[in-house]
Amino acid sequence: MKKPKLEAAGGELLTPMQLLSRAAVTAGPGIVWIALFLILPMLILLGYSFLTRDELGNAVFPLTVDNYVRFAGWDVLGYDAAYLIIVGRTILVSLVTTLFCVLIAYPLAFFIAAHEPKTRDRLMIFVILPSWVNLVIRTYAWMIMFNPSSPITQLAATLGMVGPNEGLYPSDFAVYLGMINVFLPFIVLPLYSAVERIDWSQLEAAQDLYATKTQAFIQVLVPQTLPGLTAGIILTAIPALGMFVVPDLLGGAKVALIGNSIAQQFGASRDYPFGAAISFLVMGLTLLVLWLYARRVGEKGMRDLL
Amino acid sequence: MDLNIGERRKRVLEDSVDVHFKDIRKAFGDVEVLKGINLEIRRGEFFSLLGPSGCGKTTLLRILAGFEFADSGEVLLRGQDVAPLPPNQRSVNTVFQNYALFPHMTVAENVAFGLKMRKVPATQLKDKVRSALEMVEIGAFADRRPAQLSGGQRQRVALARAIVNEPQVLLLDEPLSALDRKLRVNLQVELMRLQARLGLTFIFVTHDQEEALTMSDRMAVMNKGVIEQLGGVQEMYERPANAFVAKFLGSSNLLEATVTSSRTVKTELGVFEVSDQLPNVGQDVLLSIRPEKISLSRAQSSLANTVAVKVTDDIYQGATGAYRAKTNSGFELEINTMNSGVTDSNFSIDEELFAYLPADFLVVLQGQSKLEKIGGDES
Repeated sequence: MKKPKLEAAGGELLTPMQLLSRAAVTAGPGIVWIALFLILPMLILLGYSFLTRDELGNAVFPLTVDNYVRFAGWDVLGYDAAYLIIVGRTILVSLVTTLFCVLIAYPLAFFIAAHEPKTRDRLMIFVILPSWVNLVIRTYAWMIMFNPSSPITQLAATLGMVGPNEGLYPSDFAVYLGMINVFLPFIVLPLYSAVERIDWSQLEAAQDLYATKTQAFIQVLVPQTLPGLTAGIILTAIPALGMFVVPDLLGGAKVALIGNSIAQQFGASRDYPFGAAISFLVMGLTLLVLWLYARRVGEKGMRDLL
Repeated sequence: MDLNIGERRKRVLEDSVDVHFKDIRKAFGDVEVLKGINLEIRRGEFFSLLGPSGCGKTTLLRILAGFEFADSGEVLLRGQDVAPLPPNQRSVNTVFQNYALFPHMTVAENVAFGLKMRKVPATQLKDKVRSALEMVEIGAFADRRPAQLSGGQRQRVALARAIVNEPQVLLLDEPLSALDRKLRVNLQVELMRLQARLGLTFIFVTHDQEEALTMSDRMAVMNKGVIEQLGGVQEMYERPANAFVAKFLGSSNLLEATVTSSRTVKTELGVFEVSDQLPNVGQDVLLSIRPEKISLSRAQSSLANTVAVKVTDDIYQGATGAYRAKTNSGFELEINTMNSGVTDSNFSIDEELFAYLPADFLVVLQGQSKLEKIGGDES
């Protein structure tokens, strides 16, 4: 009998067949999961985006690129850049949200990392805790807090920040507050894990080498937080692009963002093909930004990030 | 000028004092870690602070560097009180125990950091960085990151990063403790060469007595916040001042004795002659003798200071042999022999021998006359 070729795996010698069967057992479920619940739905959605909506709201043949053209602004009624404006506005909201999150998260991460390990864990729970509450429930809670009769709104009214009998919501302020509330943990977590890993004796080393405390912070600590900060920004800015619950509820459905537009196509408008097309364009935009970033930092930088 | 290590010790040091600690006291909460340290360190000397962990040696170093503040007392650096100066304005540089290299910078950027902070012009900076890297023989690694280096190489970077600034005093906080033995010995030699060549004052903190003995001109043995003994290495090894130093610096046999005349003492092993200065007759003293000063022989000798012993333990160590031998009274002596092949040195357990304790090497210890348990320092 011919001896099968043996391969070393995890300290054992296995035949190629054994190796393959082990791979199937360990990696198989994951691959099936991703194929079934990620790749397949995406392909279906991609297919929809090239279909046409009939009068009843069903997606039917023929295949067409009209949906994409319509998004770019050319419609039967002439040119209207409405959707592009919505995209622009969405990007702005996403960036502003991210900016505020960074401004809050940066000192917060250092504040937490400066504590004893035990206290750190407790403080981190406080950061994460709000995200255990369902998003819609949390958003309704903000609505209650910001309605005209709540103490907070009345305090704001006495300070002249809102008119009498007006609520703090719907407003841009409420939208941003809600968004920051949602995304703050996503930026604090990676940032904190970067800050926590820093060897603090470097701060002493920097001062020993004639740096002032500020110089030591900016030249030694900040660069080491950048991978965590970037991860946080990506984790915030990208989901913020697709957010629709918060702007819809706290913005009073007055200001459309791209997420709301997509929800509307799949809901009230019953225009699946157009909704699918917007979805793919937003996704393409996101991937484009990530790709540009990846090109800048190289493969290693991306791996650090993930 | 490349000094040979042997010649190094013979160089004449200037008399000027570089660092002067005046009655330094420091407590962390209720724990007094420094209980009035007075110490002068001369310019250009290789000075070691030796002691077990928790003895306060690192705290003393950190006070000099500016990372801790003394509760009372004064630190003078070349005559100037450093108390009002933050760490970045003191012309001392530190080599940290864990190196504390900046992971996001290359080796060259790490070394250039101090110069950049002091706004050294770019052209000079490049030359200085290159020569510092070459001095510690890591010029080839200038563009690597610390994570891509071995422990020994990181140590060299940390060293280059400090000496490139040409400080008045270089502080080294157990810089070799993370390295393996072979590498440590090599780096010891290099550090000594470097120190002699630069003529810098080195203050070297260590818990390793061998390291301190090998490298220093002078040293201070610290314990529980006080200096137990201060002096040249040879003097301290040959004539330890007290039981702690005798035990911490190498090993020692300690013997309780009562003075019977100006030249003799009575111990449980019998009467011994002692060359050292003895106190008045009738007083108790504690004697110390190093294991390697005792000689063993099979033949009974007519010399004084000889006791009959029985070997209880023999440990073959290659170049040396370590024996334990019990006297009739049950006292156990530690004896080291050289495996030279010239003298008898191959003894076995239970063999009956004669141990000779030369009068010249029985050192009278100060501070205590009775043995007490010294805990946790026999490392």
